[in-house]
Amino acid sequence: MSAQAAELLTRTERPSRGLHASAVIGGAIVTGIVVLALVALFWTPYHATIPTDQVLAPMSWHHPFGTDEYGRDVLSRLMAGAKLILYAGAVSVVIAVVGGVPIGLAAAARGGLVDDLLMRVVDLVYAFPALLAAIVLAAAVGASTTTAMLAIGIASIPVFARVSRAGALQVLESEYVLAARAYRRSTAAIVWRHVLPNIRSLLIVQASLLFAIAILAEAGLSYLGLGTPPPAPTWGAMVQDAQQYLGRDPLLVFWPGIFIALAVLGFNLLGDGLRDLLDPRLRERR
Amino acid sequence: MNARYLARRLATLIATLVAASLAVFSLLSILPGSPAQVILGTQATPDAVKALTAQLGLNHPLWRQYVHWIHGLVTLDFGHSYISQLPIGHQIAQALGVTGPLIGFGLLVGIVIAVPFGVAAALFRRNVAGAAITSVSQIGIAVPNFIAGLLLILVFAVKLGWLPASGFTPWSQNGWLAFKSLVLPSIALGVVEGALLSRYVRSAVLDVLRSDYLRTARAKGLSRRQALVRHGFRNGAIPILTVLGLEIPSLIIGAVVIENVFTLPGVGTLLLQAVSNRDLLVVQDVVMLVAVTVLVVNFLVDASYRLLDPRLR
Amino acid sequence: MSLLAVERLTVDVGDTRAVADVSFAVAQGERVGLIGESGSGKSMTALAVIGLLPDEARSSGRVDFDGRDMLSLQERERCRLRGDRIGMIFQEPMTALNPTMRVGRQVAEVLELHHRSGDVLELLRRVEFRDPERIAHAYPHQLSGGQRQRILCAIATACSPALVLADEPTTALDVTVQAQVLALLGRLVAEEGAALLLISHDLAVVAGMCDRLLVMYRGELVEQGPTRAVLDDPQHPYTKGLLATATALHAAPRGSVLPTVSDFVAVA
Repeated sequence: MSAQAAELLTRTERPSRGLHASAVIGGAIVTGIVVLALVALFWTPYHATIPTDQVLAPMSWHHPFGTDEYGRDVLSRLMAGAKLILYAGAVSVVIAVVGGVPIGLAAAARGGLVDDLLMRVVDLVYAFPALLAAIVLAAAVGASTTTAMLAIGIASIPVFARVSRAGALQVLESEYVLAARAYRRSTAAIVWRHVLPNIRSLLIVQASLLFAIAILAEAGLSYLGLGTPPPAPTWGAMVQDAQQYLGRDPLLVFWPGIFIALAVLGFNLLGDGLRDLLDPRLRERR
Repeated sequence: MNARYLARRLATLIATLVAASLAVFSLLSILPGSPAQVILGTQATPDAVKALTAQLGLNHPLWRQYVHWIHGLVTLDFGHSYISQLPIGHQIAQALGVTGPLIGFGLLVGIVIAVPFGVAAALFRRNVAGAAITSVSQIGIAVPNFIAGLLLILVFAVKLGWLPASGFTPWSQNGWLAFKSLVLPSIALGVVEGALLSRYVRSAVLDVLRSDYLRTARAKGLSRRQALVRHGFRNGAIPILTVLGLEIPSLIIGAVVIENVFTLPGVGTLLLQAVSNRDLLVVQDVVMLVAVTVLVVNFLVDASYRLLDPRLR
Repeated sequence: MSLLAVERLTVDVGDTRAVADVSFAVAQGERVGLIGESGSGKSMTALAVIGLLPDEARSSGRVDFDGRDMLSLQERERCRLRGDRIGMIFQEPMTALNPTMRVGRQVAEVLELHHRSGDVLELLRRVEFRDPERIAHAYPHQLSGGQRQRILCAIATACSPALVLADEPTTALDVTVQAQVLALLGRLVAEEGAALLLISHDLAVVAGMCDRLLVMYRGELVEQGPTRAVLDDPQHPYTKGLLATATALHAAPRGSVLPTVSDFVAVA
């Protein structure tokens, strides 16, 4: 899914009633993965990157997910991968928020030519898919986690710029802001005290959905070898490595795949659920 | 929509294209090392390197190189690869013979999945069937397309042996085999897109079902089905087409990944190989090609749904 | 025999009882006003009459139109009646027309559906459009709210129905246009000899146009009778409250507290 499509989803899809379950399930999954990553910071059952001689072992008590073609414990690699993917996702989202929100707010607050100009630049970036940017960066300076996160983050700036601009415009045109202006409050103060709290929910929902996209994008990039270089156990790279053993040991390919899907699912459900929970309140405020 | 608006959008399109080309060119020009050196190898004499550099036009000032490149693109002269000396245009054309149909079939698969599922999800939203469809589509969105591809390979190529797991027979050689080698990739590409699109179809159908004009239509005496078909179709198509347009760049990017999974000699593979070989001119040309395609498609989609919706004209 | 006889109509939506044991009748050519505030169940009643209750609604009782019970009729039969013998005008003219279809087509559709010969341009002239060709060719967004509501009146009366239901037809319109549309509605209904069930929360609207009034409060029909009788001598506390608050603004002495409905009736 593209960032553009996710933004459109936030704006058009109406919440349905079963979505409280969404938030709970999504939250549970995300929490699970975060816990896994946190644990991995301090401990994994085996070392994630040191080979052993138990090559391509099946699932067992010692190795709950088996071992890979170098004898590395898959569970440990999955845990380490959780760290990496959450890190990459988080940084990408932070880049997107820190880059996009001020642009959107500035465009909404200034209006006129500034607004036009900023949005044109945003549209330009919008048209450049993250993968393409990552490829160009990889060609220019070599692939790494940084290039991947930069590419994904910058490519997602437009989403936050647009969403915060739209939200800010709504608030700025409302009546109590007119009242605030009558009291001669400065624009910056208005933005800080009135706009930000109101678009907070919108941004949280968008951030969750974007996290899911970032995870998917990072997985795709590391699958192609354009992310963190080996032997880093990113889930995408694990799939690439295991691909040649698809016939012999399919689970080696699909465990990381399942984890990727689970992570994406978790953030998507969380975002959808949050949108449902926060939406009525958003409506009331408008 | 009138000529003025169209002209403005066209101008924006061109400006964006120029900006994109500048971005790509600058990024790739700041690299250290000389392509001539790479081609001739470490044994080459400095004079030979200088001569080749001049021959490749790489000793000119950057702006001249940029203009030369743009001029080439516009006249469809993509130059020759520094590494292989092969004409890039030819390589791209061959690669398009794979990627083009892949994206086309992928889109088809996506639509064929999205429409029935989305409509069903909307119509059955109050019972278990609807919830089941929505859950399945959530899972479909979460699964990366390369995983879907590998799953398909496992089942249909490895276990059942019905379809090839990789490789591509050129169309000119054997059309049927060429088609067969695109079946699994297209499905892998399309299934994930289809899951995503089905959410939008559902949303669009729900908007129609809840609309006031549908109620008016029924008050006229139209049956549910008649009202939905006669009044819902055009109104529902507009947001769906919008999303379709937004997702085409995703499809193109997805194709890059899928080509890797199935080892297809398409544009994506061409690009990735060029990146790892540091074959910079190829990278430049292909990236611009993709960017141009994405931007032009966006432009066309924007124009078309403005045509469809009379409120925007 | 009345044209419309509603007997003990009850409509439940989820856990809420929207309409509770409502009974009334409308004779041929009679104009009946249905007043109530939001949530009183008046719209639901109208939807029950025309057979367009939402799927999740459960209904009981009888809605007898021309001798047939709308509630138990086959949907196919109801489709034949809708638009042809019963016409309905809804509240929101801005969204009630298909934005992607030309207005003339939307009017023609109801004629074609019920195999009526009729001239769309003539129908548009009847609702006071002076250049019907331009209007017929236009899209809804090119017309004002008042114009759109007139089109909806044309659609509702195109097949000369015996009963016209109008659910808050002027609430969403500017005050200046309201009078025009109401007058138009009155004229159309008179020309066709049709009965009218006019629903509104606005006393002024129904008082001017209707022979009989029905008052609904929280799903129940609390009062009904000839217009003058209800206005001059209300029986039910809610009706009294409604009337008192409607006229209070003009009559109240300076500095006094204005009455509210809760002075008359227990409000949850």
